[in-house]
Amino acid sequence: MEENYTHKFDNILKQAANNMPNIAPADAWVDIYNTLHPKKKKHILGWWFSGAVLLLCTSGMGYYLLTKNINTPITVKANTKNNELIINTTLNKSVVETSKTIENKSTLNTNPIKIINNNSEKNYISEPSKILQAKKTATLANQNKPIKSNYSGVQNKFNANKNINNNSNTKTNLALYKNINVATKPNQTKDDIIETDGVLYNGNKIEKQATEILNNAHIITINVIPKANAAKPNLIVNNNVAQVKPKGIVYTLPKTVPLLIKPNNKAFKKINFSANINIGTTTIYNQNRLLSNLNKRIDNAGSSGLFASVPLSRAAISNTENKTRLHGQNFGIGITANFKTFKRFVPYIGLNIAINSWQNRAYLSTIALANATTNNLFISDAINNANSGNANYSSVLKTPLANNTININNKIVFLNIPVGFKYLINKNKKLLLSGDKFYININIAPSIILKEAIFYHDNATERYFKLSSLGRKINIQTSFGLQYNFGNSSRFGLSLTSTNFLYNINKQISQVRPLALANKQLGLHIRF
Amino acid sequence: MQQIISIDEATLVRNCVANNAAAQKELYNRYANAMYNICLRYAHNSFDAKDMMQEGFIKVFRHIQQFEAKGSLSGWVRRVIITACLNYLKKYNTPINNPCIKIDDDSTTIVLSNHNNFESFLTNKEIMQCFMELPLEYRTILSLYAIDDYSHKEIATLLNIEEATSRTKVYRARILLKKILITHQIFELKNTE
Repeated sequence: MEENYTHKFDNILKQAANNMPNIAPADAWVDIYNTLHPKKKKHILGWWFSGAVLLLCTSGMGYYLLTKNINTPITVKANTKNNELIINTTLNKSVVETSKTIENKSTLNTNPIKIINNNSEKNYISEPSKILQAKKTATLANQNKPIKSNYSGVQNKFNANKNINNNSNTKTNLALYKNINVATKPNQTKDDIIETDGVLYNGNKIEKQATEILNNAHIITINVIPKANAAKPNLIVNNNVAQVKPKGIVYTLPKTVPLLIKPNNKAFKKINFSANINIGTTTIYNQNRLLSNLNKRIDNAGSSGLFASVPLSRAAISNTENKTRLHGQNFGIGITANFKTFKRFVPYIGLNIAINSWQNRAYLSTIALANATTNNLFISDAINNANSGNANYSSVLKTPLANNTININNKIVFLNIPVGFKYLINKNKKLLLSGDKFYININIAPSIILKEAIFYHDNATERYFKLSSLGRKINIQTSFGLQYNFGNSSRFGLSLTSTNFLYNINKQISQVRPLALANKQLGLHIRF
Repeated sequence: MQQIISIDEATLVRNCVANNAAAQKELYNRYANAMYNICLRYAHNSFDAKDMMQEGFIKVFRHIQQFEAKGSLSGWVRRVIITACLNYLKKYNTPINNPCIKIDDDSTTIVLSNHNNFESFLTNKEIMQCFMELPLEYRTILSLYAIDDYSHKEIATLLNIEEATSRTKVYRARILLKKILITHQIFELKNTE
């Protein structure tokens, strides 16, 4: 009798197996068809592939041009006849005044210079403005001595000695508002050393001033981003900001939907649309690393004490004020279209949109040497007693900074357009999960940001985070494993993708630790 | 795009032999879901099942001239697909003909006769979920015997094992499956010592 029931059980099992409502993958036929009809592969260079290549090239060129445009100094000439310095450049780019120009200006113009900005656009980085006022304050014979300023406010005094390099990164950023005319004071001497004082404005009201010191051949950049009020200090922004260490966790949930396209009697094309949802938090640390030559220079200028030690770690500067800590939250969605054309090449194009908000929960940098080789110097205006006057560097850095939580650049929309291709290097390599596929991935992902209904090239992202949004990456990825990105921007991450779910879930934890030096990023992404 | 609507099997096969893409697509559409079902039973996961099915259908189309009209086309396709599945497992060194796994408690048997209408409270989904929990070697051999109607002799040939081994494995696979059903509280366990 049990035998009958066993037979009955087998029948039930058979019935259950044959009645399971599984549906074959929609894209399975494509591979079968292309295997049976290989001649159809002649049509792989179809319109969409050409379009992808065109987009790739266009994006690359766009990225190059945008980067070049931003990084190319713009010479601002002084109209010595009318004693006006007229700037007509678009203010979503940094206006750069070369040392040579300033040198010439210093030799030509001994009268007050009027700076007129005819551009109506706001500077997207610094809303208030800094106006540089040129004046001569010292003689050539005094160039190795501390320079004194006649202005009240923050008197940042130090000597720009001959060791300062004159390279492409050495520049002065003028963040301008429209229709602000500032008349400089008459010069006192006719020597070659120029000290320009940056006067910060909130509207038309002078809040405080910073200092830029030049010698006859070189510039130390002091990039001052004014603040709206004393309770809300601003962030140092410069192309060469260094030692930025974002750490963050990003969860990515991609969902891949294949779409089959069959042009007239041509081979099937499969386009995988991958929708991604990214949720993450990021913390940015701006750690100032003061180098000995700067210490020496500043010490020569009369400051002492605070610069004696070089902070080597975040912990080391935890009790000092020269620290920037930002906490950011971001949420993004994106879609990427993968074009399965060749057997192994998978070109793709996508669009990612992320909304970022940032909060400063600690201190702001007061001074930072960005790069040992370029000797750029950054000074923020995060000074509580900025208007007290006659403050020197020592007092500036000893001044406790704002400790309250503020919002910085809240709700910036980032648009990222990844364009590239993947190359399948191995299939069904059973390491941890069967069905893993290994790809080499190369892409260019230019980014733009949207703020106040105006699109900008994502140069601010570079400056803030040194992330790879604009970088070129080569990465090897699998559905499971670790990833490490070599290069100027290093990234370490852990990702997990389960291939057994209908909806793939990818959780990625990454720590980004960008390095200083160049803006260009060329890294190698390896996930294994 | 050429449309083929409700053509008979003989015409379909003829067109497939002529490497007609539309006919091939029609044949694929007819049997894809059922064949994918089969592949899932022999695969580790859906990715393997998809590859199995693709390799199987390629074999179907490349050898369809060998199909004789004595049996049904679906049965022939089914056999080719199953053979492709087994070859796929062998290709990737999947252990499907290992010695029998010893079942911990051999004294435990399931008396199905205590459940006169046990099929009434078993759903297809529950049964297949438990079935997929079987080790792949047991799942394979139970699929071949109980679901795909292979004889022990055919199984022995396909898997390169003894016929007695096939019988033993089917027996043990069935017991293991019942244990899994018990674990999921579908059956009650009766220990007959």
